[in-house]
Amino acid sequence: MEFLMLFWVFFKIGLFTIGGGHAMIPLIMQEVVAQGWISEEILIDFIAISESTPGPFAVNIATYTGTVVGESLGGFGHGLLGALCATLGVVAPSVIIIILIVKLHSRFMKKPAVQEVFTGVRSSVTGLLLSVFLGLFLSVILSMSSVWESVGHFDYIGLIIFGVLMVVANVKIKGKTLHPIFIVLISAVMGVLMYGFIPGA
Amino acid sequence: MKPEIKEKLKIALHLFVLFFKIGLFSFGGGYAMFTMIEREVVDKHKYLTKSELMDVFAIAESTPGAVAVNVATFVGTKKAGIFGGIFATFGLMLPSIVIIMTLSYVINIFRDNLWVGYVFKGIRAGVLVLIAKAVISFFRNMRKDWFDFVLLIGAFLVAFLTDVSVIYIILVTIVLCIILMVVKNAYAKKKGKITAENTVESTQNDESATDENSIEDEVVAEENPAEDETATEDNVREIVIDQTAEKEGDK
Repeated sequence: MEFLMLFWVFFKIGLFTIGGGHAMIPLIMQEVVAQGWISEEILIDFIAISESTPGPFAVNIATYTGTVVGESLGGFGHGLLGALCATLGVVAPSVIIIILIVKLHSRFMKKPAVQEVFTGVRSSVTGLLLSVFLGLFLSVILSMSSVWESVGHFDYIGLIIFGVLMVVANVKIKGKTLHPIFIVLISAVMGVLMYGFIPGA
Repeated sequence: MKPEIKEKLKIALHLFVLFFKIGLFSFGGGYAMFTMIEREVVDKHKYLTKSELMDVFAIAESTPGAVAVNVATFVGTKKAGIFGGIFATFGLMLPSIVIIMTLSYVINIFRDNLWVGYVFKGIRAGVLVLIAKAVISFFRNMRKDWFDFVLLIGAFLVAFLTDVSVIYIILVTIVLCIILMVVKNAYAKKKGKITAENTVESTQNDESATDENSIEDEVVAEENPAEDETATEDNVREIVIDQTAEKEGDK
């Protein structure tokens, strides 16, 4: 049953994501955390891991969730089955849709109406991503689980790491910004140095 | 076995290996994969031309799902049929599955260590930066009509302040876009000014309204002769042209 749920939830995630990998974050946050499969904290760690390992972000995050959920039901075999269910679920809608498009000679995609809708959805997704960002900012930096809660423990070190990396991430060298993997590495090193060695942190 | 089926199978297997390599060596997904895919699919093995690949990316980006998966399925299906598409997609997924499963076990072993905890605390702040960057890049590539800002702010407020499912927000967006198109169309007709952009509604049911559609095609041809040439060649190319025109408009 749990495996069917994995397939179904990730099928929904795959179907309602337009604009690739990152557009998936709001939906994954909601669906996966709501199912009680993975805590928000672990999911955030995993976004970092997905960015720093090869392969498409969507496939990585589906595999990871599937493995963790499968693991919790049994051993390695369950983990593998869970990973397969989630990953097949996330790619199934795209595979079906793309095959249809190729077979229908791409006529459908060309229609202005279709293009208009996709453009509009991307505007909405921008707003959804912004909401995810602010939600995470509240929970990571201010330890707040929602807007309505009063300010919890203020993590000033987290804020410093965020501020420094925000600058570093937008510096262009030869017209290119730093690869995400380096952002993750720098944040890891800063985490160890600052949380580990600053007294009272 | 028929020789053509054998040939297709050969291509499908080769695409499996090719996309396995792409999945293994490209970080970041989507557009980060473009260079890698270009080198393998266009330069080395000549499965597609450069402009065909750009069309594929334009389609992949505006259909649901991960861009890289869409590209793999598209190239596979085009070159070797449905099985080609499935083979190429599996090739792309396999490295991720193996690597991620291994990592998830390793992480579980070390998660309780205090210093590893500090590492992840730091990384969480780093992820905020990555998501902020995603927001910025989505915003940069967004069309910026008044309606898009309404959608952006509306989606943000509903998602941030309520527990409404993201799926409903996207569905409502789709409905609103269609309503706006219909309204725009009706308004344009009332004014008696039928332009190519505003006859969107007629293309929605072009099976029934072929007359209207052919008129619209003529209007498009008059307005943009370059677009007409490519349309006869390959329908897909228009999307790229539309998008570049959009981006130029933004600047």
